Amino acid sequence: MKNKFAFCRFLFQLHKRSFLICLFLLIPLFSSFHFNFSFAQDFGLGESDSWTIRASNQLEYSSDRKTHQDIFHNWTDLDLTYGNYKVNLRYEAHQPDDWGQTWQKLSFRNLQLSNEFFNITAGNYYVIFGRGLILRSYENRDLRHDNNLDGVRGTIEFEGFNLTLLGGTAMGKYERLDDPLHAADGKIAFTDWMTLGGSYLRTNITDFGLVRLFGGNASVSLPHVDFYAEYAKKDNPPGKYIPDDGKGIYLSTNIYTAGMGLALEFKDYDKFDFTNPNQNVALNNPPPLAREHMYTLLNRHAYVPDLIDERGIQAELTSSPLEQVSLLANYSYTAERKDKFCFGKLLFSEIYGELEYDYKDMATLKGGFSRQETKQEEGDPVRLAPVLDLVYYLSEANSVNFVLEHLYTQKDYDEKLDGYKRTYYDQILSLSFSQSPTGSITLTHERTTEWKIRERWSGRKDWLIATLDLAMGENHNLSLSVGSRPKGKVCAGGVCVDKPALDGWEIKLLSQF
Amino acid sequence: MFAGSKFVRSLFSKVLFTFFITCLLVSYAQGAKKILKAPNFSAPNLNGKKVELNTLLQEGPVLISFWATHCKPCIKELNQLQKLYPDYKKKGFEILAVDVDGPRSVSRVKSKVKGLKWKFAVVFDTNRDIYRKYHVLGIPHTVLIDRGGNIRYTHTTYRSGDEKIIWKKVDQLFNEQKEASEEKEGKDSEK
Repeated sequence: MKNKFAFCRFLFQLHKRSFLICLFLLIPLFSSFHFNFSFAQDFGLGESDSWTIRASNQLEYSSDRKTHQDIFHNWTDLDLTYGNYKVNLRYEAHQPDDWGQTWQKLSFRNLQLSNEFFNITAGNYYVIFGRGLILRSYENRDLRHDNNLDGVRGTIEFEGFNLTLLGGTAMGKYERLDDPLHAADGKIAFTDWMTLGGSYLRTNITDFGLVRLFGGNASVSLPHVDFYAEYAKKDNPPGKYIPDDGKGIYLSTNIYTAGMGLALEFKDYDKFDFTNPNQNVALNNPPPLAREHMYTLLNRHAYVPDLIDERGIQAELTSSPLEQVSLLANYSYTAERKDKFCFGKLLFSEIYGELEYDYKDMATLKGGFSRQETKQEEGDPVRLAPVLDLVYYLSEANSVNFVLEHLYTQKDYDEKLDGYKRTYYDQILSLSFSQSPTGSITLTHERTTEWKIRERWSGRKDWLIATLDLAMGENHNLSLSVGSRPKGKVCAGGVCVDKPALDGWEIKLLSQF
Repeated sequence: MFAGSKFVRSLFSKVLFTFFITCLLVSYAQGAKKILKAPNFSAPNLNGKKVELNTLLQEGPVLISFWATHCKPCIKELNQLQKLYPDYKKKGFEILAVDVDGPRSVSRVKSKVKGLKWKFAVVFDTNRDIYRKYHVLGIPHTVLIDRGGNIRYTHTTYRSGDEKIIWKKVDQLFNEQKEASEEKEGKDSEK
């Protein structure tokens, strides 16, 4: 008993906020961990009337010995369900966040009432209309992106009919926007193979005026082929930060047979940026039509869409001609708009190919090659990137993985401005040993020769980091990294952020309760 | 904000303490019997038709695998699971691959799935509603659910050989099912 009080004192001696974080973690422990007691047994209610508590925690902590900076991020999510009612809570702590601010708060909370036909949410929520041309509110923790809406949302759904009505204010980079938005989105499935939908949104932006977006979408699914089309229009007050009204078109089709699939996409965005200027929050997120890569170096230079003026296409072919072989080919091209249907000045293009070969369950060999050309960066770089990925299976549970990523860059620009093209390369070599289900250990070496094109280069040329990943039971995953890695872009869904360099150690702990 | 300051000590205590609590939970989890119910959901499949988890569970156990087209280990895992899937499908087992690609990649999912010859059901979770419902923190993430709708196994990340553990767990579920039906038959014959 005495020990218990000592433990409580220890808890209170800790920072109040850490105590709150820990409390969230303790709740599931003291509530029988995997908590699901049934009122049906105790009070004779229906089988569905039972409390369920679920929780998860994501912790990231890094300490840089060079800059002496410690960064701590923690997200604790908790939901309580009782019959048709559900409460979602999230407590976040960032010390500091990616913009240097230290904060912790209950960042997400809502109450939901739902059954198979309807859902009413009061509080924070995420939503997407169509492919995100008109509205997309979402969270991506890797990018520290969270533009959740705070308000009320109602959804009705039955027999192929779906209607969503919502109102609320979006979360900005630092705080919630003052400008409420109201929107509606509906969808009707006329037949098994055809669906039609429409969306409408209006918001009055402070110091700007009324912005309205509306549009429609259609999808058709036939044997071996399907189509999706979405058109949206934006009404803007004239003479402000975007001079005229805008529009966005997105088309896609899939053509496939067994063992082969071809996806074709088209985009046309004209003054279609829908960003609240007060906190620079983008409220729509249309498809950028550029490939999201599996490898670090390729993904570091992903295309960031320019919704003011761009038109583009993308084609991707996936095929498994033999049981052991799979192929992937991708081509994407984005340019400025020219006239009604033509492409103007190139903004970004990439051609990517990948071949994977499975050798008798003993090894898997993958080779890839990318050629990227972008006008988004200084020097209009052209990048060539071969990738080699080899997995050798030592036994049923043990394997060794070797990855080589090489990125050769050619730029027009350099600090001497002598008009000559300059070249350099970045390279990542990684070797990992993994044992199922225990964990893996990875050694990653990165090097750059970018210093060759710079007059002054005070930074590093080589980085080395060791990472230990451990599965702790079924519900916890620990990742510990020691060493150094360069700063670089992390991109997803056409949104990129710069991640700081690390020279020290980092711990990540993912827990589900 | 820097080393030696109260702030850093506070941070360090946070990390240590959270880690300590997590270790406690882990040890507790090892001995705890899971009775967590899998939240029901419905989501559109590749042809736009709604697939409901509870409907699939009427046929037998379901393995939910959260994946995305840009996730290398996710595709490796699903390729491995595909190899034995037809055998288990005959027994009533189902794999539900929940695609969490955003609008950027969602159009290419169907061609990818067809190209890789995956036979199991694939549904879209474009704005990650199911992902949040299951408190997924990273992909690949797999959840094995028994016929009664109870979560029996969860796993994040994929390492070569993890699929063997999944198949063992699935076999275990079928054995339990078999034992339960034999027990029931025995009781019925006694009566």
